[in-house]
Amino acid sequence: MLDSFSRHVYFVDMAELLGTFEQIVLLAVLGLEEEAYGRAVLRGVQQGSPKERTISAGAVYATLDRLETKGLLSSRLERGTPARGGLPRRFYRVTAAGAAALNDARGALEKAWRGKRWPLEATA
Amino acid sequence: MNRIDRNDRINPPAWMERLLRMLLPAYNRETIAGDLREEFHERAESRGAGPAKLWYLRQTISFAPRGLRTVFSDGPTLILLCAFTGLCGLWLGAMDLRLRHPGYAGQLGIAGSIVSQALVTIAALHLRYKALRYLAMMGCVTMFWLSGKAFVGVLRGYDFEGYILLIAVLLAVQSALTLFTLPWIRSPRRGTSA
Repeated sequence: MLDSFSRHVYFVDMAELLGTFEQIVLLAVLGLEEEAYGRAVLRGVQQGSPKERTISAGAVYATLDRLETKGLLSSRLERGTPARGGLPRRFYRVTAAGAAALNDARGALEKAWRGKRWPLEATA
Repeated sequence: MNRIDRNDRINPPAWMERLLRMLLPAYNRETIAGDLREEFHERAESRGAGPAKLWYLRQTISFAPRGLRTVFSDGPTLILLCAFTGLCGLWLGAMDLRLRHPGYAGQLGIAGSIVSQALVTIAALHLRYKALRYLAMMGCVTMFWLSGKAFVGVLRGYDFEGYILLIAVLLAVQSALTLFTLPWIRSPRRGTSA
């Protein structure tokens, strides 16, 4: 019974781990510090993605929105510059829960990779 | 023809900006439009207006799937559909109670399930509880089955009952929209200041 309980808990924990794209977005926000507004994050994500390809703004903003809803990011609005036609900027910040989620995701991956050779070779 | 602003910068075409704003959620409409405009200016200066417009259009299209969901979940379409099918269910139930044809108890059950589904969907859209969302999505299976049954029944029947066909079609559309929008509705955001 205890075994099935711990398996259930483990499953729930794994389900709550961040996805790769969520981690890239959170790390981009973290790296930009006080300058993490939408456009800068979009550029940061593009530079941080493993393959050189254009990342769609829709995907990045949807992820920012989801992370904010989960409480892993917080945001504040600031007045826009003339270059933006006066439209406001939303600046993001990684919350304590966001940092903890990133640590958990990295810890889980490091544990899973322990003892494996890099780069991997096909076994069959 | 390029749109030039007061600072001699080329702006994205007006129709593209309108389309983008239509697809964006109210929460981030101004900020995302500003971010993309800023990026557009830089691209237009470094690579020319044509490639910048193409880039802007691609980004606008990337908001389409989520934008459509927002239109259906925040807009009146799904609520109006639910209100209409709910009223139809009430009317069907009232008629069954009045006429009491053989097997009317079963018909009353069907009318009740149509009304309940409409109420649960509206509640799930407004209250945003997970349990209500799941209940509404599970109810869609019943509604699809009911509308399919009604559709076949009307086509096979001797009398063509157009109103049943209309209710069946609307129920199917309502269920499809519910399944399209409800999985993406989330609880209110935390930790944000305006």
